[in-house]
Amino acid sequence: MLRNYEMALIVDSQLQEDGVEKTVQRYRDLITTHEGSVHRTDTWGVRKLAYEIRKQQQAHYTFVQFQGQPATLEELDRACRMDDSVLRHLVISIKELTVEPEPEPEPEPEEAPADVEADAADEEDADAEDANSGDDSDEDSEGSEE
Amino acid sequence: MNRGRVKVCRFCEDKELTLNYKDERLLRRFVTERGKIIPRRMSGTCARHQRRVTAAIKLARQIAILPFASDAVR
Repeated sequence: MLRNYEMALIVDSQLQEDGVEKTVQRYRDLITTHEGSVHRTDTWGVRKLAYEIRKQQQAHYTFVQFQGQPATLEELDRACRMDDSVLRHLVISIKELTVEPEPEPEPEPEEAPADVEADAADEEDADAEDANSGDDSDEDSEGSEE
Repeated sequence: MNRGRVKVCRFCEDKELTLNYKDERLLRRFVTERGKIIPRRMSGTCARHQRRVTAAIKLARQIAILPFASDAVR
């Protein structure tokens, strides 16, 4: 039985640009060769990591939604772990595939930010814009409280 | 920290608001500046949604969207 999954692939951004693409493509192919089908691929591009992974401060994020056999996951996992260009990977099952076409608008809830403690306002709730999309989506220390 | 006003669970309040482990901006509101998950007695999140918040944060940590700890010392 086919199930819906989403795989997060965090690829070393130090590779040449097509190196990243090739890597992602490799996993897409792996899915399809295991009776799965890739539904959509969400590319975030290079993004700052919340913590260093293998000395890297940033990496390339891709999310692949696909339908596949549960047994495929082991394959994916094994392949990712052996693959040096993949810094991190994560496959989760999702209830349903996202319907809307490729470019996914990131859900961004608006509400008055609970700007608490003025003292430690560095980077925490400086929820100005960033979040994803761009390459250098770092949160800076200029906490824009108030 | 988030003292003073008792809030209702924001997810119960706004049914449209969906929780996603990829949504850094939203999840950031539920962790302290050191990366700790804010307990629901402070955030006001209801039990059901707090469980989901927690799960989402933990996923986000795995893929380095959120820090496991600290980040403050730097």
